[in-house]
Amino acid sequence: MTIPTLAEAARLIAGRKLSPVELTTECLTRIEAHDDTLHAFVVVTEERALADARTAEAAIMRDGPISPLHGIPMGLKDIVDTAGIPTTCQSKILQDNIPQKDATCAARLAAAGTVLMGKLTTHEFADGGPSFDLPKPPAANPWNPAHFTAGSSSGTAAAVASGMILCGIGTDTGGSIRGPAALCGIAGIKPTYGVVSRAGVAPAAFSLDHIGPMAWTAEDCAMMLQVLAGPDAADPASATQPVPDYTALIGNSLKGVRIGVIRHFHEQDLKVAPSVQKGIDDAVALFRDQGAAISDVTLSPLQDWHACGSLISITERAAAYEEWARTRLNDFSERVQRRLMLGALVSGVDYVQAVRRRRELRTELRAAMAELDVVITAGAPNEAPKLDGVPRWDVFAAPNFTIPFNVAGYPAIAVCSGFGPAGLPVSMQIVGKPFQEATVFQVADAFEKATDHRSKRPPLVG
Amino acid sequence: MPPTLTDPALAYLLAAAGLDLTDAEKADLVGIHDSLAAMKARVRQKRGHMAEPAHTFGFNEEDLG
Repeated sequence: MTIPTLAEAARLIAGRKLSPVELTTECLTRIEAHDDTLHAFVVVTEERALADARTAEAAIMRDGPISPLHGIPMGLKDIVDTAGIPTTCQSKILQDNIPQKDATCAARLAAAGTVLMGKLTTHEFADGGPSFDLPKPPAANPWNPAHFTAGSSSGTAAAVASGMILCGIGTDTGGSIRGPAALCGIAGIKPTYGVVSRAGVAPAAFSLDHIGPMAWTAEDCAMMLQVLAGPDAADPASATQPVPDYTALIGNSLKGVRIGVIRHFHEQDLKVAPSVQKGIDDAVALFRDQGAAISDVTLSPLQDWHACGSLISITERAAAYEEWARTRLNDFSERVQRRLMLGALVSGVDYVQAVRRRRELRTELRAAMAELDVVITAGAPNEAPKLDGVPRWDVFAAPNFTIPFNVAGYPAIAVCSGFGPAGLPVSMQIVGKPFQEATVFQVADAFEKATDHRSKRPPLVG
Repeated sequence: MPPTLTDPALAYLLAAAGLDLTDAEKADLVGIHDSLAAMKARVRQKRGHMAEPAHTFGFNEEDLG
């Protein structure tokens, strides 16, 4: 079976032309064939998956689907609580942790009738990585298993790209959805801060943490976000805005859509590889051809955004894991130990200055986007590096293109914009205004449908 | 130039954080201190007292209920 997109599968399932049990079986076959190489899963919940699929199939045959995700195989990053199923955060510290209750996002996906395939590999507590001193090995990139997936939602990206699942949950504190989406050639959106509840998900840095969908296409992500979004009293940062129809603008013309290009981010502040630059240039030309109005945008240097987000992240993470850092530091991976140690070197005054800078940067982005609908920049600077080629102190090696939108809380999607000379995917980001995810999906979908990047799966899985 | 991270200063900071590190780990931190100091410099701008933190909050309906 050729693995369908979520949107294709939903249409076929609703039309009773695709069996959720057969689709789930195909995904399990792929897991069996490839997960020894890709290490995308921490736990495969095969019995639960088949039971979910049979239940979904019977209900759909009887009454039709209860949601567009009914009968769709999906996975959850292993920092998402699942009742009765281990949630290890890929850490030695939580090897025996079996939550009593589902995280809100897991519960909403279950209520929508999805099929839980298992828990997906993550960097430890969504930080650091790749680490080779954890209970399970790091995920490998399906386009070339010697290469990195990026992280921390590494397993979700690898599993989606290889068709082991049709969609999955990622979390994003500085790019942990968009980075892996970029390097694995899928779509992943970090929604507006507060749109998806964080309740029941292990924190990384409280004020930067976002939960979001990862899938093969932007349209798939929109369909998944529809199920996930909405207020939740269990999350103090949960947004109370009404949930719009995230697919409402998909297929609409881009005529009149105003797109800004943060050119200096990827051409000067951190110059990207030629294949990444070509992907962005091609996208700009395509958007212009489709009637969008294109202009350049200037913000503070990428390094300022990176410094602001990193100082906040270091401090909030050190606070979140302070007790274990004091009492069980050696039980963390070496990479996470180093990150936690950094917390000792950032003072309270440093943190407050970073949070003051954050307000200034957010104000700057709001002003820059006043007359725009979306802005674009790179998703990652290059193709995926080798798994053993990631710097020990990657936070200081170079700024990343994703953290500015964690600092701002604005919605941002990474989509595949082509392939580099090594045959690995490259990516760009499309960033919207707060709660305007529908416009982000409109632009991302228009790009995907006007290019052929979505027609190619990793050679490993055909 | 960023301030030097002396051994006593590092010892104080680690004690305050409750961290007990090996000499190799301490050397690792000393090695990245300049990079961290550069980040700290970037978030310090010339600004007035009304430049408040991002999450200074107002009272919502629940607070007033």
